[in-house]
Amino acid sequence: MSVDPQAPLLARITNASLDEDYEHVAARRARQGLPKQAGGSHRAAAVIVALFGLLIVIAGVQTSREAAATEDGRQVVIRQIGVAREDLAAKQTQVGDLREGNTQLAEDLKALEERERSLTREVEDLRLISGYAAAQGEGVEVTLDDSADGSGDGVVRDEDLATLVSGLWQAGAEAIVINGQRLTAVTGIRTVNQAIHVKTHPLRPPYLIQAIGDQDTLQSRFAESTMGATFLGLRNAFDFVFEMRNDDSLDLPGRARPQLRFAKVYDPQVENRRMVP
Amino acid sequence: MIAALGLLVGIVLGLVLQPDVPLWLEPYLPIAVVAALDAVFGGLRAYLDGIFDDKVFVVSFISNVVIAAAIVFLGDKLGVGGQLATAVIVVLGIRIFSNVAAIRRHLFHA
Repeated sequence: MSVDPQAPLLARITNASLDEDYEHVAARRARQGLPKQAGGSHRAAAVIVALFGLLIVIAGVQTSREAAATEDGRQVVIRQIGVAREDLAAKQTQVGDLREGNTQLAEDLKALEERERSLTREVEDLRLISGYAAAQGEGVEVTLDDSADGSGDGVVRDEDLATLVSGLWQAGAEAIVINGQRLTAVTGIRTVNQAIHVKTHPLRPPYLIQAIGDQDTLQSRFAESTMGATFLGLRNAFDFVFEMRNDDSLDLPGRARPQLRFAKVYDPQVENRRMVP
Repeated sequence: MIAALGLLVGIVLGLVLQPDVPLWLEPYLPIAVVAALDAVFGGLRAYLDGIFDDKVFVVSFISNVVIAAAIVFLGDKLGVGGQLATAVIVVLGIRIFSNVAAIRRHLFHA
């Protein structure tokens, strides 16, 4: 069975399926006058066939073992997938929860911003009331000076100024400035070495007192108030230079905010809680 | 007859011993089995053709196994182990089929 080198590959493989050596050996034996097939027990062939059986069994056993290992690996991977899926579900639940929390927090933030705005407004109002914010509005302007005759009694003293200011407060003034010094809750008016000090600032006459309040009623209520009446009596007695006129637009400066180190806001609720042991 | 006995002995030996194949040999085992199968069917056909020879069978078996394993080994080293193994299996498979067809003709005279 010779092979045609020009034949197609498949045909060549098919034709040469039997080892040519068998034919060569058979042809040689024929030449030597021996039978084509050698007799004998074929012991070597038996050994080779046994080897073949061994090979097949080893390969089969190996493959089945590997298949088991592969299956084990597959099961492990499947379990891992399950675990990862559960993880994912948990994470997604968490995402949902967090999103809900986020929404809640956003609402809280909104509420807090609202509250901050209102508190800021309140703080502004309080600063205005207490004199720590610049104020603007209609009001009266008062000029006060020592009496023109220069007598010792005609000098304006701290109590005169304080009486005038008290009268203005009573008349409904909302913010008062004396010579540019805004009055606050902790602003004292007193005489030191013959000069009147507002807080620690010494003032020189003439004194210009600006008070923001209702123009229509401020002057009349001042005259009616006890302190106002007292001051007017003092003015008449000591002949101070005194003039009070309306002003449509007053700009009053604010004071710098003091730093409180000891005073704390009293919160009744906190106090009550502290009482409970 | 003695060949069938040898096959039986080999199978029983394998089942009893269940030897562990070293890891480096594992990829060559299947291809070696296919090559051995080709040699065995070739030998069977030659026997039926009346031209069987022990020496030729032994040599063809061993060389088939060694060459198939060597080709796969070479392919592995070159990075085309899978493709070369496929090529070897295709060629051996065709040979096995045509040898088995010849054996069938002998046995059933068809």
